[in-house]
Amino acid sequence: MRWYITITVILVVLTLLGTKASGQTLVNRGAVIHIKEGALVHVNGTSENREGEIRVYDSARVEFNGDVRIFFGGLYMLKDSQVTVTQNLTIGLDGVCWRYDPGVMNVYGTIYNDGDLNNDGEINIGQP
Amino acid sequence: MSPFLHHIVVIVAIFLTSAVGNVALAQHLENRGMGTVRNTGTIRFKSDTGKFKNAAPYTEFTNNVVEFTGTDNMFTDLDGYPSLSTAFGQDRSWRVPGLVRYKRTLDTQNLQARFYTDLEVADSAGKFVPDSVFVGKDYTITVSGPRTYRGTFFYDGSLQQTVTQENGLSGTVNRYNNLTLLFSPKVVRDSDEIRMEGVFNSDQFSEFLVNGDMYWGSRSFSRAPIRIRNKGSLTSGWDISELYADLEVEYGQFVVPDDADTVVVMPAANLLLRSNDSAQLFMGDSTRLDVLGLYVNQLPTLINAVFDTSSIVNYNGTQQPQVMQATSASHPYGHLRTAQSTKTSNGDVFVSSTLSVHDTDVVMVPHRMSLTLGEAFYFNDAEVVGSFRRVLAGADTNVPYRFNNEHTFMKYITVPQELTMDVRPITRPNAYDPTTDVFRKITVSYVGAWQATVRAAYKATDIPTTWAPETAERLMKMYNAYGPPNERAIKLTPTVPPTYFRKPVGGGTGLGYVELFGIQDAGADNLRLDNNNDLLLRASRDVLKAVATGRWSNPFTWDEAREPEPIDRVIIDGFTVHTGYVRASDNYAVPEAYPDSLATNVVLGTSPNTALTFGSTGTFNTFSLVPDRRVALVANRVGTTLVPVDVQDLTALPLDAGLVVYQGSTFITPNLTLTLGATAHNGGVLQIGIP
Repeated sequence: MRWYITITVILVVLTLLGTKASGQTLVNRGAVIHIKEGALVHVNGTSENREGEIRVYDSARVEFNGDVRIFFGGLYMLKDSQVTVTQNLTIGLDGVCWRYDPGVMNVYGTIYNDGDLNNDGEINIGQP
Repeated sequence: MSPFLHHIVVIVAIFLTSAVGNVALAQHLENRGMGTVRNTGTIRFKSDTGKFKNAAPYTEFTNNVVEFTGTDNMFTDLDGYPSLSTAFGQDRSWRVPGLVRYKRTLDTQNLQARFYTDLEVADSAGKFVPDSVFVGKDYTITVSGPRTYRGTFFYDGSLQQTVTQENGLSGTVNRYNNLTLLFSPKVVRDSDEIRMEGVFNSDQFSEFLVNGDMYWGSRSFSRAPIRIRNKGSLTSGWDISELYADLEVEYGQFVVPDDADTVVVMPAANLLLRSNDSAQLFMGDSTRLDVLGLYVNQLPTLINAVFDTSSIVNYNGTQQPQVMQATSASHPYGHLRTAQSTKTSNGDVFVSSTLSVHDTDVVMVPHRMSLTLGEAFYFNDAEVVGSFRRVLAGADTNVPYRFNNEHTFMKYITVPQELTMDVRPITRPNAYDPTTDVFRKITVSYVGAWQATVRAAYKATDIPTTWAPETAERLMKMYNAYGPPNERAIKLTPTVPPTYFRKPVGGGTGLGYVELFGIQDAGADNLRLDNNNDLLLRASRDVLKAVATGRWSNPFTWDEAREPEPIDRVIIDGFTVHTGYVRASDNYAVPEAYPDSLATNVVLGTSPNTALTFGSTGTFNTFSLVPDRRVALVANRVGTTLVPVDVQDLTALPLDAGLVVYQGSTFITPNLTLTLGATAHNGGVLQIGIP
């Protein structure tokens, strides 16, 4: 009996871990983060921009492997950069997400927009 | 359930719930109440069920391109409802800004019923276009798979729009089903071809400029002008087409194809063919054009309008008068029908099949109606006023060819090339005598020799109030009447006796007529109706002349094919007329109608075989002229035959005897004059004077 209880608890914990990325991998509280010159960046886990900006330029490639939440400040994608969000993108009331032309932003999940979503390039939502 | 199994179930349920939550990631764009989306690029939905959900005010979304690549992408509100909310495209005030592109390669893709600004379908997947897709600007088809249209596709922009080419030959694949044009002019581009299956509609603002080829489907309701230009063509559908506004062919074709139904030019509308050889109208086999408004062909030669012989043009307007469009001899109407109001024409009208005139007159003056061999039908005493020509090449003999009304016709023995009757009611004919004549001018002109039975009709309104008391419709005869300067009328008695057949109108409605056999274009005065002379109808009481040996009561004894009436004056000269009995000359057994008032005056001529005999059949044995002191019988014949008066001569032979009263018979005349040598044989009672 105790053995079954142990198994159950383990499975529940694993399930919860799989459902929700615990904690934030990237939290910006006011900095301006520049990703430039063809850089390749992977962020595994939830990313939150609480203040400040994340600016992606120059054909850089950024992959957010998790949710992205922009509460204040913004996510700016310029100059043929490519950004992929593998979960949902949430733009808060005071948040900005700006995809400039040229370039592509892929969001595999849903974009929840309470702020400003600007697109001059391409935004792909979902996956076939 | 054992505790073990219970735990297993709970674990699996929890795991599956979590797993599904991870895998079935929603893939939408949710623009919430405070959100703003400014899209000058492309926002692309890649999942089959991705939605653009919106709760923000309309102005918080500007758009360049929204691209749907899934099978069922949609615009909805945040709760997923597509209408009665903040969903884009749900109505005209929430029209989706910018371009919405449905672009997919595989399978099929369902378009959403929306109000779009610009709409594009692209790539090889088939597209299902539902009912109620509205396009405010451009509809673009970019190398798209087959489009299947259901319901109605609307172009409803406020500025001029181009209707996009769809030209599938049948069904609703790559071919519009219903098509509705609203709010602004619409254009079919030069070299484009647009076909549709269902109903066409346009509102009063949507002038339709057809520069290419437009094919309507079933019914069509056009409420704004249609202009066919630049060699464009408009082909009507297989059901009714109603034109509530002008259809103007400037340079191109309006085609009503074979077996199409009816095109109706509504009362306020005009069908206009401009003055251009290439502004053309084609009416196909078994088609119909109802003209309640106006049909006008401005090309002087009129050869730009082609009517199949089985087509019908129906002038059915209520305006007074409605003007019919003239046609050319080489391009006549097929069937022509008129109804509802008086019709006139703006030139000569040629008809190749039939003419059907309902209810009201067709006034052709100063032009001419021309029909070949087809029937002319008339209803409710309507007629064609003016010139009515029949082109009679190939006509049958002994078949009546009607002219201006139901009872005006000719039945030919010899058929002319053509013959025209110009009938004008309440119009003075040549040699008119107001005391005896019908006030109706019937002028006959022809090309080629002819002989025919002629029936000519008249109405009560053509009988003047000036007729003399002794004039009567039952005396109606035909005359060959010459015009000025030497007006005169010659009575037509082509046969002996003439074969008059009469139907008096009797002061009522309808048509009366008189019919006579044997009139022809040439020959003696009594049988000839000269070219361009009037056929005069005269109801005078002429002196009746015996034209055959026969009984007094036999109409065919007399030149007007009627028995003398008391008021008549009678001449018997060269024939033997018997009264009161039957002879073998005609074996006529009908008794005399007026035995006690046979006539007013009787003259026996001087010619051989002149005789008037009185016999008896039982008690039918007493005969009298009108008992008036001015009435007389004047006998001039010096008979050469001594007639036995005790036995009635029953042979067919003429008797050269003068006056004869057989034994058993009584003849009374107020006055009797026997001129020098004249003979009278009396074996019965010859009473002279009024008792």
